[in-house]
Amino acid sequence: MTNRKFHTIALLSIGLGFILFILDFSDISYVKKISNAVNTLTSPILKFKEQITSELKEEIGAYFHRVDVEKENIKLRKRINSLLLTEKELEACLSELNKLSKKIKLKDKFRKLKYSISRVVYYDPSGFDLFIIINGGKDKGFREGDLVVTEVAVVGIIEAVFGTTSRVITPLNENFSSSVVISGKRKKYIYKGGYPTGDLLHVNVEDKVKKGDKVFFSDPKRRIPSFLIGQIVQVERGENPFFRKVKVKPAVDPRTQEYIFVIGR
Amino acid sequence: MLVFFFLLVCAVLIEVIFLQSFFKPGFIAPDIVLFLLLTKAYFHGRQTLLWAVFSGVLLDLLTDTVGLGITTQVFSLYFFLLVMERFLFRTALTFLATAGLTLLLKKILVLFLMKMKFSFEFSVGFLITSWIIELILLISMYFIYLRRYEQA
Repeated sequence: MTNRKFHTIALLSIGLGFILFILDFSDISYVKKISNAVNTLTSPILKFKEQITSELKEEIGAYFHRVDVEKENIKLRKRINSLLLTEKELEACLSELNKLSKKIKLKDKFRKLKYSISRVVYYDPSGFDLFIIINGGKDKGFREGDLVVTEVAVVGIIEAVFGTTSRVITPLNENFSSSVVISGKRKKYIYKGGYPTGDLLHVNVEDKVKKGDKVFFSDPKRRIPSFLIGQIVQVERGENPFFRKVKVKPAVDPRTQEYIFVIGR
Repeated sequence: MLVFFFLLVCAVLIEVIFLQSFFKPGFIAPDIVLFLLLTKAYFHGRQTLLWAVFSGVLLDLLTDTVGLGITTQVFSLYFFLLVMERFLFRTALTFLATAGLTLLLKKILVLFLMKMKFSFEFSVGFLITSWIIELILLISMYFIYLRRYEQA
């Protein structure tokens, strides 16, 4: 390429390009048609790129999800191992207890609890947490009145059993009522649910009940252990001169629960 | 020549994909086409100018900005060739400094031309970062490919 030709081509191209850009040459219909035709040729590549990008995003998302699941699995495996150890210890305690009861000629036998693990699938949309819906119903053999608990506290009582789900009323529900005892006392009371606090019924004026006392579930057949229901938050003189007005704050927030135990009565 | 044509078309397509998806406004996108043109110009000199015109036109048609690609590609290559021809010796520094300056100049020119017609947010940090990435690519390309080829 000669010296003159080189400079001419370069300067002409720069000048022409600048003018075309300033005059919006790309907006002219003929140019647009050419541009569209060229774009049609390249569109499969752009589509392919879009596809690759979306697939890659999905793959990366799935990978991170899997990593999270793996971590969760490791945690759960550790927890299961420790629980298995605890179970062995408890079995040993139970056999010791049986031996002791035989020696002192106790008639009561320690029976194993029949329970199932279930998952909460729906919460009360009103926000008052009056009920929850759990996985499992008639298919799992759940019955009305079965107790729903966490490891330590009562979540509720099964009110209605459907095919594959059950409706559980919580201690915040007015329809919830149960026999209870106060920690360190033998006298039984009735707990009646309510929002945000439930009531302890028929607490005599002379009963020594104070704020902070824990309220436990009481099974008349003495088969189900004493799960925590709540804590006394208020003790007042009631409308009836013979009884006190005692308010109990439920221990479990139903919305924080995911997996629960259902104990058959 | 056919291989270079194929490479150039591929580079234009990649740059279009970059411009359309990752970086807006476009002057931030890595200048792959100019990389290729600079490499070609380093070995073959002035005849690369015609390739610059071709790539500029193709880029313009694919990005709907007729004129911008031709102006900037040809101007950058013209500048690069004029400067390179002034050097008596070819060393790593003469190539890298000139090419680096050309890339920066092109970015500023595109920015200037775009600002004349469109309004958009401009970040100096992005511009400099993009240029530094280009410099790293340029240095790698020189020491991995160009220098070896030159010695042979």
